Amino acid sequence: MNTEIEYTRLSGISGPLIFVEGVRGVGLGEIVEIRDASGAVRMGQTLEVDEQRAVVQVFEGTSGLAMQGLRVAFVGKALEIPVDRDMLGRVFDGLGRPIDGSPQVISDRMMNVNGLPVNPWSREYPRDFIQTGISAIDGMNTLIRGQKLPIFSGSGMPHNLIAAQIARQARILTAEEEFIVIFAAMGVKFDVAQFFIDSLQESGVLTHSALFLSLADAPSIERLVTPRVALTLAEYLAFEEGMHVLVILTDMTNYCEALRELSSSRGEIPSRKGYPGYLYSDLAAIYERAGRLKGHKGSITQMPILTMPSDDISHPVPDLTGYITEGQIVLDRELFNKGIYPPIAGLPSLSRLMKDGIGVGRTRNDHAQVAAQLFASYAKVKRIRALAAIVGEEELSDVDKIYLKFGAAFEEQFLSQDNEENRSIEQTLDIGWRMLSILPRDELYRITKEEIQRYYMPERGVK
Amino acid sequence: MDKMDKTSLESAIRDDAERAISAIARNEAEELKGLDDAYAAALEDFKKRTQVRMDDRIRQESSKVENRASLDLKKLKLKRIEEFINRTVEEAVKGIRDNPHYKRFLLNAVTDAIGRIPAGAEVRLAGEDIAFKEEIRQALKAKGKSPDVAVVEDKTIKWGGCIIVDAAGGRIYDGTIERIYYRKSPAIRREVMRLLDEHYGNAG
Repeated sequence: MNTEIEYTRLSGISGPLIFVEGVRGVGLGEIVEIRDASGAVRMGQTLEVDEQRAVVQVFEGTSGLAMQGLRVAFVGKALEIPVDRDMLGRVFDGLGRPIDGSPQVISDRMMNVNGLPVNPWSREYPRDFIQTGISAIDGMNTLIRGQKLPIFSGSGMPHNLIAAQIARQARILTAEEEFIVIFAAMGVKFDVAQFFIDSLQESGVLTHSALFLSLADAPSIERLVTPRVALTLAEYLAFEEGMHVLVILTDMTNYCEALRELSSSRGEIPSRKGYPGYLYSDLAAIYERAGRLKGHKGSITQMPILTMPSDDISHPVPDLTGYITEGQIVLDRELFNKGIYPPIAGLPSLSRLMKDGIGVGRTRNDHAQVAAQLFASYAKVKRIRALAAIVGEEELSDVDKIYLKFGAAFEEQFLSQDNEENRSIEQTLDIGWRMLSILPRDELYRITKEEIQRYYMPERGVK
Repeated sequence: MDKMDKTSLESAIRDDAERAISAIARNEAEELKGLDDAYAAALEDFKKRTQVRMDDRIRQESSKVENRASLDLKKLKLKRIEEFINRTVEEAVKGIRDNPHYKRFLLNAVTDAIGRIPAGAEVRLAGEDIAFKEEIRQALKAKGKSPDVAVVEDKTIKWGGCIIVDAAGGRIYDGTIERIYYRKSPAIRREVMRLLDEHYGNAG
């Protein structure tokens, strides 16, 4: 029969949770519709079910709900969203409902937001270089198709500018398939969301993007669903439509805060800094929805952004994220204060898959060597700066003074670039060589003689 | 001899001076030409760069306009389809009580729900359906259930169907047409889209 059962007996409302009594045949993770006395509908999901009672988390929050007059219907399935390539160019809320004034897309395909069950064997190793046009990333922390590479940022730093620049400029040089961007915002302010919309619109890539926005004023529980909804569309576009998808998730710290709020409402035993003990596995369930699958053309590359409270990289959110992802781009407060954009820290940033996506046929033969030498030389600059702070610059050796000159040039010319500047990988490597040419030839111990012969040009390096 | 010497010296000096003057003039001309060439080259370079920038800007602007147009078109199509669906549903709902299956649907919905309630059920119907009160009681009797149920009008039911309230069990059985349409609207939208595609190609 078409008759639908609604439950009206509630035993409590606590934080984002409601407790429904007398339920029968309800499943865990089932989607719930909650109608208040005025008929307004909120959505939720069952978190716990026993013989008589269901605990429901309400995505839109429970603010304004009264126990009297509430009607709770269990829909009988997990949260699903319609998926279609017509969703590109559209703006949705954190639950996947359109908020751009047009109706929901009409699609034959509904997908569970909890993701495709991917057999680990069917995964393919990420390869192929994604050119972001940013030297600090392309040259030294290369993003690879199918990789998950987070940006570790801090309050007030330009992570959104960098993410938007990547979204505008990212290209796969070795692939023909469409490259698109899916952007999920969790707990970000309206101006940040508007900045992303404007930025994508201005650069003409909005038709190749889909935005899911759960803003700062939206109920925090909605943030738990937003990345899953965005990744569901990404999976459809990548593995059924054969597109290359870059998913930008910002800000994952807000996501974790929402998880902490929910966990505390459920009375769970808190772990580090009050986050639930399952924070790692919960984050992994999101971050692992990236990569390539055998027999499928498309791919999902993930770029989660998270802000580190007090710039603390040992905070549970960046710490656990670092365990799961394949490297990290770290923004440096010191570089930021010097006015360098993008302030990508040279040394703590790392792309673990870089080695597999660069070199002959992908970028350039000398790429790996240039990157390694730049890392090594910049590390030495840091040591010499520390020494100079103690003994004074005058006491340094001539070579050390040259290193200081290299360090300044590296930060001002290689790391630093305009927000609109889109450098090709050749340009990036050429700038890298110009920086390395400041150093004496003998100091380039990570580069072969042949490459030095070919690219080393001291007359151009010294300025 | 002196006079000759003086003349040849003068002519030698004059020649030297002329040579020097012509060398200066030549150098000057070369320098001027060099400056002119450099100026022309700089101008040409500036023109080229300006042209490239302008071309880029035009390309970007036209791509923006194209993107916006294609998006607007997509949204407009969706809105039109939505309006079409809403009109169609409104029309269908207006005549729902003329449908020969409606009465059976209503009676089945009521008896099925009441069959699951031990006692004390309340049947809520739209004003137009209150006339079915007696038939509902007959149907309940035929199913072996007590026909002694409260049947009341519910103004929130607009399209038809019924709501059965089990106050003791804390349950409401919603069998309204509104709820059925709400639940099935994604499937209905897909079906309308399919039919439009079939008849008009790419949804009109």
